[in-house]
Amino acid sequence: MAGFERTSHYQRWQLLIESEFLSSADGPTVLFLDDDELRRLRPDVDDPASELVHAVRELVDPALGPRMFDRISAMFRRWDSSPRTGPPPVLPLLGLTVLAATRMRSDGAGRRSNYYLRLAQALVLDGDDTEVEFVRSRLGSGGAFAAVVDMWRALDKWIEAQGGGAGVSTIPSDPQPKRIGYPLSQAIVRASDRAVLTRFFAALELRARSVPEEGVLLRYLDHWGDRPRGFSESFLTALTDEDLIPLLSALVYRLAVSWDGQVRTEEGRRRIELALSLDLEEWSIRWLVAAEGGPDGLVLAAPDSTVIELARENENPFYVGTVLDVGATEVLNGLRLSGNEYTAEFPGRRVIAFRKHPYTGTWISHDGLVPFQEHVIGVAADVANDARRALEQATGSRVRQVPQPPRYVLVEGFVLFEGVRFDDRRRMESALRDFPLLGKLGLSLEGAARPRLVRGLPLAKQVSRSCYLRDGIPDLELPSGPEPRRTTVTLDGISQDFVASGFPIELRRLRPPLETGNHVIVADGERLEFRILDAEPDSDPRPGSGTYAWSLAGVLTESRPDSVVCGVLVDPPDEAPPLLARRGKDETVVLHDGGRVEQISEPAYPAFLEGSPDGARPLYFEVSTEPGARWLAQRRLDRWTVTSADPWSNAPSYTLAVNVPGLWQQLRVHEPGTALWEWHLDASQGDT
Amino acid sequence: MIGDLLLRWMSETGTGAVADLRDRAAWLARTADLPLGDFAPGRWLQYASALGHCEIDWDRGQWATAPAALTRLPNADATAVLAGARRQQLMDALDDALDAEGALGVRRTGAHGEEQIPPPETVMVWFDSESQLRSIAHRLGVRYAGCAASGIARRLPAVALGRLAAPPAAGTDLERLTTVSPRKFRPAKEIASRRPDGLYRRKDRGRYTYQTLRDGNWYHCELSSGVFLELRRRGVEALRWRPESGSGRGYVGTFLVEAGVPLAPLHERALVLCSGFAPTYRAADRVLAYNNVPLTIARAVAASLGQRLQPLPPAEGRSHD
Repeated sequence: MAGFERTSHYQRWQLLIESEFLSSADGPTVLFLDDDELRRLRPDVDDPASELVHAVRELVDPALGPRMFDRISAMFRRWDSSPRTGPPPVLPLLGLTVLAATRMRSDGAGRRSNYYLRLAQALVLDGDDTEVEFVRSRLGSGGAFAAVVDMWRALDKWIEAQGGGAGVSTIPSDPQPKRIGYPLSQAIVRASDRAVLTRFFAALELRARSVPEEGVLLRYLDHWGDRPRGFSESFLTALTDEDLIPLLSALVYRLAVSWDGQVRTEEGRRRIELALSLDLEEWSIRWLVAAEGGPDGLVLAAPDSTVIELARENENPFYVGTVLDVGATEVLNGLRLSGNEYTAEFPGRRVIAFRKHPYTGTWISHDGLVPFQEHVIGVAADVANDARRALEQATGSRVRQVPQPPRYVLVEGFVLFEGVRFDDRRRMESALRDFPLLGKLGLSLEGAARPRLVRGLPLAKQVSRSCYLRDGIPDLELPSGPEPRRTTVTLDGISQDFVASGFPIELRRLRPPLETGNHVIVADGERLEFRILDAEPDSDPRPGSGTYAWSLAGVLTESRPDSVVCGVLVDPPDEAPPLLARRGKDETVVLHDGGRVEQISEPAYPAFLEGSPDGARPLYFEVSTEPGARWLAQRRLDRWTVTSADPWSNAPSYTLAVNVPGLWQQLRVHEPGTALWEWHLDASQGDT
Repeated sequence: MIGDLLLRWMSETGTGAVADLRDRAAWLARTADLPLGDFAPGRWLQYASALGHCEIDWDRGQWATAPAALTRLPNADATAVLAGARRQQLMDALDDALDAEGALGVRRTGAHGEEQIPPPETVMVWFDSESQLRSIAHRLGVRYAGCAASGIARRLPAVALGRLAAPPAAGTDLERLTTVSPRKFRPAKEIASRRPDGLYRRKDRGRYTYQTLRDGNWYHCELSSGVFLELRRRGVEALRWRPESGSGRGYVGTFLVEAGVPLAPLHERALVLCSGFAPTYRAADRVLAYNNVPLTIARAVAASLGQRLQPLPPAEGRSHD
């Protein structure tokens, strides 16, 4: 490694940091190092932070003031003029600058933003205040830190030059604040925060939608992160720190742009959902691992090393296999079941929202509440009284507590409320105003992570995510935290103020309703385009129509050649048509073989067709005939209309001004009668 | 009407998941300020299937529309109904096709219970001949299905014990049918060897599965077949038929099913396609009433269910049940 003036400790740290942060290609690289992370990297030593400082001090002499980094700078320059086959030999120093950034606190020793004080304290081991102040001033106004800035920039370029082999750099090119922005940018997001951020990116639908601009992205994060998501305290603090927001914003944006579409745990494993399944009828609770995004078979290990073998099963959205008991500790603090590639994760909660699952029929835990759906809500006992009052205020009715007899407690330390449904935005807002802590704990509606159109009656799903059937216009959901906020939404150029509170804006209620064609919504700076159609653009029979049919044994299967019923189609069909006679005639007869004349009385109208508001009635009635019926004859005044008694016949009808029943009886008595009957028909007024 | 809108969307979509359809139905009802009962979306789907618009695989949780077709109603004075998928292009072409053939189209919405989604409107065609009806079907590009009610009634399989099943595992929480109307199951607390014959159920992943116990053997069954096997075992007749009182209409009537007695989809479809309307619930008698059912079809349905149809005297007055 060109120019690397190796010393044992320094070299060891250089290699350790390189292997930990720069040797994997799994997405963005963040050189986060705090005391906890150092302990994870060096579990073999008591005080790894001191070890790092000592290693750096082998090459850095704070007593040299502005020239304190000269030796490392020289090494760095040699590396810079070499082929740069490895990362710059400055990683321990850069790591130390990040460690100092993570130690910034608002205490008496320095202002919140005095980064150089923290770095000086780190560099001057066991030194007194005078020494610290000397180093602090040389780092800042003395210009010593400018050398470190060059090193950060070089590391940034080197990472990018690896073409992804060292990950994607998250070092800002032009940070605010300048200079110290480099280490600060790496000190905000620890591995666990990055893992939570991948959930945020999934909620933003970044697999299908573009990354919003930096400022908008951070605003969405602010709303989304205002519930228990698992972010570190320092991350949440940074979200509200005006000094850090520009850095955080840029970093989150870079993470979002380079996101690989996978939700991950902090160890980098693929994250799948671990949920609680509550069955109030069978009085049981169990863990379920969601199968979405997971492999067919899965082996995980519980914290106590219990091996959990799981398998995917047909349409079941959850794995089946080893069943784990549910304990209060795991519910409160969270549970992780880890495998080689996947980790099933349940974040600890003091408020759990359960909703009925259509497949399992049980109550499944979710991240947050949604409006208009029934919930069972589990609440940690210490906040149960407040939660009851808040729920009653939010729903406007008494909530039912599920009795849990002492010997049959479902979740130790939790109170369960059932039949909870949130239908009224104002009630919900009022409850959250009065019980803000519960909102932070998760007793608030889960809004969208970014403006989005949901529900509705979508069409053309194969080619578009934004086509809807007329009258089936979707709801608009807006990002919101536990506290509602006012925002302006523009629809086709017309603006209106709304309250974003987790309740959807039901565009279907708009009057006059939206017409077919293209429409545009602008909300929170994002533009949502959608199209309303009268029908699927494809005019062919829809794929899937006619998929199912009944067998002769009365079993519904996928349609087969030997299926006998599908909808109203029956194989073979019953096609024997009825003989129809016109209503309102003076007389109706059926003429049978042998001259027999059957008198037909016009029946009453079918009862089910009577009494309709439109007063319409059928014009015909059905005539039930016996074998041998030849003709149907109906008289109006002195004229008869004669038609074939064979409903299949296409023969014309005839109008005769003779006494048809009498003629039929007379002619059929004699042998030549048939020909004479035909003659009468032919001679008739031929009404075809 | 949201029932029509749902069918229109299903027709344009072709197939989908039942759970998704339930959610969209509940959403539509909410945005139309229509309060819904607990099982309203499922009930609507059941009737959409009975009307021949779609088939539903409840076990797999999937639905698919059925091909569009005209079917003649039995003993209904030259009335046919349009069933199956109702794509927009078909509905747009309907009036023109009827005008061209000189037939009359009538659209009516059937009665529906409180907090229920209205069934799709019944699109009736009043024709004057079989050939005219075929011509209309041809113009519309749909199939002509003859009289589906009588066709299905002729093909109803007889209710019988199903495949042999393994006995329930020890410790399974079983319930036994105690009363049919209203339908009540009670925990079966007897030890396994002393369980009496009957219809049993257990819950599996939130859904009930049913088995019939006969002489120590367990048999698979659906709820409907299980209930009718149980009715036959107990000698209980649960199906009645009341003829219409109008002159010349005594061979057509109302088919009455006691509440709680579940008809299988094809049995219900044979009855519903006699009138083109979903059944109505009569709270006073606790029965579901299917109108315009010819005695021949009523007997075929009852016979396939192992029931003797109980005739009732004609209804007083002219109104149907």
